[in-house]
Amino acid sequence: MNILTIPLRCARKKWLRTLSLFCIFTLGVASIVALREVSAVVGESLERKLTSFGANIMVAPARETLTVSYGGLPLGDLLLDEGHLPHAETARRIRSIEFSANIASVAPKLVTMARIGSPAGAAAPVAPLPVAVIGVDWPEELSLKGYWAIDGAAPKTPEGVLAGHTVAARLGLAPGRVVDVNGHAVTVTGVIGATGSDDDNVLLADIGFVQRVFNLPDKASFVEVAALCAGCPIDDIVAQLRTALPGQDIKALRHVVEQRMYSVHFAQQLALVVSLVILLTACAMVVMSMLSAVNERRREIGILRSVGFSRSGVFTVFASEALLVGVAAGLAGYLSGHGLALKVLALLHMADVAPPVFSPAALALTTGGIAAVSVLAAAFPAWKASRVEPAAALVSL
Amino acid sequence: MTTDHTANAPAIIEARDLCKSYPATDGGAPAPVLRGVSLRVAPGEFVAVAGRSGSGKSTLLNVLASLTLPDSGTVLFDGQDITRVSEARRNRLRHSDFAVIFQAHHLMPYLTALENVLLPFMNGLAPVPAAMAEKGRRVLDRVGLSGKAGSLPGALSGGEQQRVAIARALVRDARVLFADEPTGSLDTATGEAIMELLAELGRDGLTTVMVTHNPDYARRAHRTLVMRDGLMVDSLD
Repeated sequence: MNILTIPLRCARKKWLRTLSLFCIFTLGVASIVALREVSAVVGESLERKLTSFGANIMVAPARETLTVSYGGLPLGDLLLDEGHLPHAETARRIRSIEFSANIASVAPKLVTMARIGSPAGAAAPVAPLPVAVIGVDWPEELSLKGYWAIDGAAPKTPEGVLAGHTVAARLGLAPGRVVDVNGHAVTVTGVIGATGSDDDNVLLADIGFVQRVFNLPDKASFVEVAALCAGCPIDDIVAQLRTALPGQDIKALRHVVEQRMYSVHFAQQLALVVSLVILLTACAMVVMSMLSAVNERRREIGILRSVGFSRSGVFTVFASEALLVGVAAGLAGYLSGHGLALKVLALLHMADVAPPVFSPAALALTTGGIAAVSVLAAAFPAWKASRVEPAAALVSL
Repeated sequence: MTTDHTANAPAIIEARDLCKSYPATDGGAPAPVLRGVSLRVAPGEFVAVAGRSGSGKSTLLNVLASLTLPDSGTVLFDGQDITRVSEARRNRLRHSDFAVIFQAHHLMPYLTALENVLLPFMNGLAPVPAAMAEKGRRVLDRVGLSGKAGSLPGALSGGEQQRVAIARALVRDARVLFADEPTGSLDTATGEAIMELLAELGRDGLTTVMVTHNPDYARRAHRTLVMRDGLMVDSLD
């Protein structure tokens, strides 16, 4: 028997009130935990989905140009470098930076030109036309170009190509047609719907095929990188890439980064605001409940004071009661909130993106935080009640 | 009952010119309840304070027991003015020197009879010592509740609840027992038994100040003080 016997006995005797307080707080904690975990996963998922709308970092060989004229006749600009990156090594170095977990896609491009004629046996053959043939890494490229509407399918073999909308129209290409690229027959497996971008005017082929056909082994003209910026600033990723790829030209496409982060932050801030509203509502309900409970029990406060309990002793009785409810609600709320988050993410088909991990530290932090909030909620009514003179408390009811 | 407890003995409790008002409920001027009350209580004396409802006797008891402070005047306990001591000292007085029993018993509804008796010793994280728990059982025996230590107040009769309240006073070895209409909510037979118990405690030397409006019970005290309209109007030995 000690001072804690009083709140424990009271909680047991007034189990309905204790249960109500417990449920209110558990519900609040579970909602906040679930919302926080779901919003974190949704934010990450959203950013990953946004990477399918293009890259946000460009890696290209450093170039210097020289404007040449002779005898008053301008001869155009001369490139003073090789103009290519080592494909495999560049990709490896990009994937090996400290923030490699934030690198969602590394999409190399090898830009070449070729005369592409009408396919053999075409009904209305046209003269061969110069067309840009771009070598790409298909899995990486397709992860960046989620917005492509392909009539047909993406190539499954090195001898398959995708034709841009304008090129296909000019050459009369359709899925299944065979064309000649630098003396090699390739099959058009699909035509990309109009995008309004450079992709409309090119033929896209496997980068290995293009390197072989155009005799540019292990070459890439530039590399597009899609970085996830939720966990770190884009500047840090760019700085690490510059260290990993000295002498190359590395640029962050800031408008793309900012647009994406705006969307991600909006989703996360929305969840944060909702969490705060839930927390404030739960706190207000606990304050009201405790205020009502303390007022109901003024006679008990009078009894305690009449047998010599100090104001701090009375405060301890009520604070312990709130602490008891807070700790129980914190534990139950975190566990049920975590379970709820897993369920919601499974329903949203996002459980595989980055499922929330059970963390004992988060459990302890949540429980401690909620216990503190409970005690704070009870503090004012308990303090107010303990200020009343014993005689006034005893005759108040 | 006539004894000469007050003749020349030093007072254990002495009140001088106590005044106390309560705010009027209608927002008017404060209503005076005590208007210059003085009294002396000698150690071991059993004093009854009689008077009609509203005469100020319960307020006087609350002021003497340090459950409220007077607007003016002093209360001396062993010669020390306890109206001007710290809150901590007043807590110690209520814990160790004074015990109060009320008409409404005022037991904690969710604590057992034994826990209610030991309530004054539960004011901390340290467990109530086993010796004190044993003493709690002994005083329950003394007030005739040997088999009710584990009962909640709701399972006890009014008389039994009042006995628990008396046991709570006894367990502390309080020097002064204040009783505010201790038989007010009890039937005649039970009230009689409680009065007999209080008289027995008085015979054992416990200083008792009892508020009652029952002349029969008042006559059992060594001395009866009569209050009317906030004033002490008579003293009967």
